Amino acid sequence: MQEKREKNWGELIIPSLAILYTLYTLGKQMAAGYQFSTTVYGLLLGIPVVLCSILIMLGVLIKVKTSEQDDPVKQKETRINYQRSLALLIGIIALISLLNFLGYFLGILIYLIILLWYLKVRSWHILFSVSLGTSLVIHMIFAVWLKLPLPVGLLKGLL
Amino acid sequence: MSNAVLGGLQILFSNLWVVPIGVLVGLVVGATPGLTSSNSLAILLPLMLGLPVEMALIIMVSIYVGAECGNSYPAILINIPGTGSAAVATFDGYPMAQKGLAAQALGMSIFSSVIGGIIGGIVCITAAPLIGKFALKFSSVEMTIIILFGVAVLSQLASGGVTKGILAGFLGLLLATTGTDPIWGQFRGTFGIIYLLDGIPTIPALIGLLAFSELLINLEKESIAAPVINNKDNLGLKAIFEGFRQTIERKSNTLRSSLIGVLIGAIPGAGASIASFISYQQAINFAKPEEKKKFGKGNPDGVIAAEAANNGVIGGSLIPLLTLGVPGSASMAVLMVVMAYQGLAVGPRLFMQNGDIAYAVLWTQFAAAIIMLVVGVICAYLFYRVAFIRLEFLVPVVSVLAIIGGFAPRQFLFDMILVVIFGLIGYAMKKYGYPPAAMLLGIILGPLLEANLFRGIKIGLGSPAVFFTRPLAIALWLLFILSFIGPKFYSFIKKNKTNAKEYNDTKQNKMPLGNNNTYKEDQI
Repeated sequence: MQEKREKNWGELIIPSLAILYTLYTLGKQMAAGYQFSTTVYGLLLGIPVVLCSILIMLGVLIKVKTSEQDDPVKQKETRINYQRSLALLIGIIALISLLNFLGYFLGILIYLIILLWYLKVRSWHILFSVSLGTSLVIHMIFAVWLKLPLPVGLLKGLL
Repeated sequence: MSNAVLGGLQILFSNLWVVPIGVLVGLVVGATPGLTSSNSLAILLPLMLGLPVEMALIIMVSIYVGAECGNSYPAILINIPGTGSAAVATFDGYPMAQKGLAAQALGMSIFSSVIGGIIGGIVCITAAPLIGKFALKFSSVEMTIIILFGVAVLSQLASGGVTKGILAGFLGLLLATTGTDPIWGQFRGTFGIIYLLDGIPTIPALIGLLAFSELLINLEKESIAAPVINNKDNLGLKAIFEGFRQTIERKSNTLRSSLIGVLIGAIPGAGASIASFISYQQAINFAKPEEKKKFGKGNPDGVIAAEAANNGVIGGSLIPLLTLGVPGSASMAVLMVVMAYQGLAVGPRLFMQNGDIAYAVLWTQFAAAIIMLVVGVICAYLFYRVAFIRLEFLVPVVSVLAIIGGFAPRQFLFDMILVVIFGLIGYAMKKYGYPPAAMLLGIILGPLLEANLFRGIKIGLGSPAVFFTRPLAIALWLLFILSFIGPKFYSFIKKNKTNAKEYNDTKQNKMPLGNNNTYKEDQI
């Protein structure tokens, strides 16, 4: 098995976000001339955030991770596994975006059918019973019992 | 007084039938993502106002007791904590479920909740006035110290190192400044989004960081056609009772966590989240070095600490309400509304004018705790089967519950988006060794820290020296420093003793028989 030398760039995601948020919130407070106490409190929290982020970033740049080279079959499997997470993410964003139009009942029903199908559930009985069952349980608990104002969308007047 | 105590017991017995109903409702409400005991009590308020006051108070305390236990069920089984206090149960409860120990974890949750409830009840009945007065001595100065330590300790739990832990904790505190400045009313870090003017809502953040991120990670597993548990041995009622046994075995942790819960609960404004985080921190501090490494990876002590504390809080939070008329939490505020609406004297006069009703409320904790032992086991027996469902079904269904749970408290679609955003942040954090729990604690405690810090500085007339000069503050610093150093010092001494013993044993073994006097130290 061949060895590969790589930097763990993923470790930089959180420090980068942290620095960006700190600069945004504190920069805006300073530029707008916010009250002294407000800005000082922000600085008290922001300085450790920036310092820790810089330390971690330096650590990532200095360290080199050595790991075994994946074989092409495993690389393909890993790619497929990442695609599943991406599918969930795209699905849930689509559901939230269309919730006002479709309504919670239809939206959840369609979302579950598509996602379960994507996750290789091929039995139509299971597909429909899980999707419909979940939609009904959510309707009964959240809409009927707790009277949560979930968007009803296309089914307005029926639910 | 004894008449009132017995009168309270009499009232409880005549209304005993409502206790199981309350506990069951509480368990179901607690197990529903996005619902907390306080908002469910608020939903039921119109119904409660129509009931006789003693019955209403008994059923409300029963719901509260049930909800504080029920919120651990989804936390353990599917990693969705419905409340901040249940978030601590996920740290070790969910890893236990992944190891096939879901039923044991639920058993521990139930039994430690029962013990927490009973200890809370005992302390309430015996020492309520005393603790009530002591709790009021905790000003903003002391609260600031407690909160800071909570965040600092949890930051140490990062698998990727202390720097990552501190970054996560402070980033959480900084994110908690988002919204309107509580003192000057200026907007901070809102990106111009009106839904963030009230700050980052806790429930979507915690569901995203802990639950949604876990769903993304679960989908990356090689085989998603497998359930969370694939080992069907050691499950069922027997395993739940095994959880009871393990809780009894860890009696010092259970008792300590329950008492922490009662004390924190008695401090107005502190609440179950702080109590469970602090008792978790103390469980780590008091654990043996080899046990410490298991926290966050399915250590039963973690589940017990969280659950005993958040049920101990119930007893604790009843103390300031009943003795001083100060509601320590949102749930207690709802109880106070019912009491005031029904014309009860709220405050120190309650025990003089309606002592029997006050004691009935205190006795209810015992009844609810004991009944929870039965109702909780039945519910756990039905619920733990969730862990058998294959991930390919569980993940899509839980993702829907997660966004609905995020929507429930404020009812904005934007909060569903927040669940997804925090889910992505939590995913990156888990993948690269940052503790999402530290960030979550920062978000939960941030507003409390800011409010208490500024109030504390006002108490000190603008000088931060007040945090180091008040007797109770000094005692707290010492106590916390001791809790950090003490266990390390103890294990150092113990290690030295063991080394010395081994040294002596080796010395004796190497000694030639019958020639003790001639053996010299430098021969080793």
